[in-house]
Amino acid sequence: MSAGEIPKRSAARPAFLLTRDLQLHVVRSLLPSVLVRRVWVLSLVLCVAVGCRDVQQGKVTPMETWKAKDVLPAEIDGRGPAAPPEVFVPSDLYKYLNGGAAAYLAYDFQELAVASYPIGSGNETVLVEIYRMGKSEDAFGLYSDGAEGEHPQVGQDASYGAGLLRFWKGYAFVRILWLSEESDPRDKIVAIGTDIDSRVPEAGKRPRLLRALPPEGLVADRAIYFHTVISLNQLYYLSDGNPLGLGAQTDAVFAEYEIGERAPKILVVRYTNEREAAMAFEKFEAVYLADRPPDGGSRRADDATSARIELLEDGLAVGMLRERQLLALCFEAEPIQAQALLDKTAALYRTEFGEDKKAGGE
Amino acid sequence: MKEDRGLTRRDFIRDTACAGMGVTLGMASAAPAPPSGQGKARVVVVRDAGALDDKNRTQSDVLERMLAEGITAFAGTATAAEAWKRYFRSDDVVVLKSNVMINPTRPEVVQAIMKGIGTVGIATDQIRVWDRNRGGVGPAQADPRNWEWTPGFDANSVSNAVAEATALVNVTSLKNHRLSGLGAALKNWCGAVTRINPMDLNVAFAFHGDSCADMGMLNAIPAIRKKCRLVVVDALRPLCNGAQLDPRYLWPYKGLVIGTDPVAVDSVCLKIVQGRRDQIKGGSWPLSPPPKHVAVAAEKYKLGTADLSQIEIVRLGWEENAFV
Repeated sequence: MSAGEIPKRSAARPAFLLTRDLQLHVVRSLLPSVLVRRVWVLSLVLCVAVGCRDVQQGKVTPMETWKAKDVLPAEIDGRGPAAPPEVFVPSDLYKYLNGGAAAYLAYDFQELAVASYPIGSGNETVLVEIYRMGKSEDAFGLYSDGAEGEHPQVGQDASYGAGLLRFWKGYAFVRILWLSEESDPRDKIVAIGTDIDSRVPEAGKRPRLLRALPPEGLVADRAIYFHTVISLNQLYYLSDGNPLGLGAQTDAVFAEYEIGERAPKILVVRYTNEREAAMAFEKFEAVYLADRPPDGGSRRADDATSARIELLEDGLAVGMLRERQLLALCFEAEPIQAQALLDKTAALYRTEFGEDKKAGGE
Repeated sequence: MKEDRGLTRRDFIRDTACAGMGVTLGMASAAPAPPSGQGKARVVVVRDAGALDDKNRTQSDVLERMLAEGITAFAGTATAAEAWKRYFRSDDVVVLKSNVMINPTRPEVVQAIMKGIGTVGIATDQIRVWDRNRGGVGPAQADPRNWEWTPGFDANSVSNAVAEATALVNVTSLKNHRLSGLGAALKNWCGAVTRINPMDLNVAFAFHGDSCADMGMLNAIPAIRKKCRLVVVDALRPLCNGAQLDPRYLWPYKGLVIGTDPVAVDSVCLKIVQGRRDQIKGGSWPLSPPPKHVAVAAEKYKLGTADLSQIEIVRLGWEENAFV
């Protein structure tokens, strides 16, 4: 997955609409033209009515209201779950994941449905976890941390390795873990994923902030979307506390690059307002570069922007750039690389969010 | 620790470089001498290439042999039976604190320890295992699927299993942990208390802040600190990355890590996990967040030594990719 990539599949409409569209096309091609309009209107009314009935009967569910449990397979290889599926909500997710729950609660987690299906003849199982998120961007976010591996065509993005299939689609993040001694369950696990994929209502949006990442040198599968300092600490610990002021309302992307012999990292944060972005710049500077007071040469600032490139003791630079609601940090780069990456990030950000450098943001 | 502004990534990298990969944030040099005051803290790492088969199933006979060799080397005795007697008496009620979450302790490890302790002459029903609020009695209930015991918690939110024990054994598994960087001996006591949450809201023990830096407060609970006589870390197939069980990052280390100093054990475990991460990346892949709790347990809670130069690591058996 690369920055700004168009989803592999176009936003799919519910199956019933596709079916009715096809029927309409056939009907229109057969009927005399004078009848077409009446039939079309009649069919449209029928479509809406049938669609509403399907929603009420649970066959088709708007992505905001579907339940994770309904997406679980009824059976795998002809066998139902070993025990009734369990459902966890934010307040009790720790019962399932203990310390691991924080990684999910750092996103807009709504519910998790889990079921374990027996396979083979022994105590082997395949574990299916359906995470329903409050936003499709957050389903992508969960997927993005750990997206390395093979990428089968399941959901909007999928990764597979060592008996674990992970994918996201719409508001869903799905993990399927094959707990058996079978040496290569890849095809079976992908088939299960494809089956689950077919029940997730719709495709969803990727985070817009991904489009602020310069594509040149970006390492595949290493652009991770998140919100909170807990997630940042897991990705790239910077300091104690939360000097960047990250929280549920901040959008952030951490990305790894390979440029020449260096492996720069970029952290891009979009704050809800300029003041928060400016405060984050100053606090981070005070914490991270406490021993390097700005000398006027390494830092430039005005009302809308602040920028600084500082060479550190390891011979590599840290770069900081704040522009309106954007804060971009670059680590482990040559000074000239840091400058270039930050400039490109700011330019891409302006294009995406329309926050003109001088005219102000949202 | 930097008192005014906290620890930063720069401090971590700079101090680690200065300390020659001191592993525990480079703060190890500030750690106190081993609690016994009798020289270095000893930690045994025992491995056997046959401990798991090619499908990662535990080979119990090999495991039991490893445990016997490990405990013997750790205690410095001639036999395993003598070694077990060094730590347990026949009238003890021994409770093993296992771990059932994310890459759990293997039941075979619990069972092997129970058998070993049983050689001291302790009745089967006086050797138990538990995590959180469930547990089992005797080797027949070593597997969590057979657990029937519900010990409950006392008024201080500590498991009644702690009070009922005369001796505790910390039997955990080795993993990267997304809140604390490392899940090993010190972290295992999280399952011995209740009323905790990652936000530290209305909790009995507030240790989650600052990447769980104060995790040592649990090991420092007087009853736990006083009663815990042995630490055994299941490093048969550790997890080196991930918030959840992710087979891509499990690897067959095929080892046990044995000690009595939980900080020293964690320092060695940290080196093992870090070694595997660096091996995967072909370069530095630091644990994130950095496992500050290991150094803080030494400095603040005086639970042991985090300084590898003050730890005697005894390596037994298979040496390939030992990382220590």
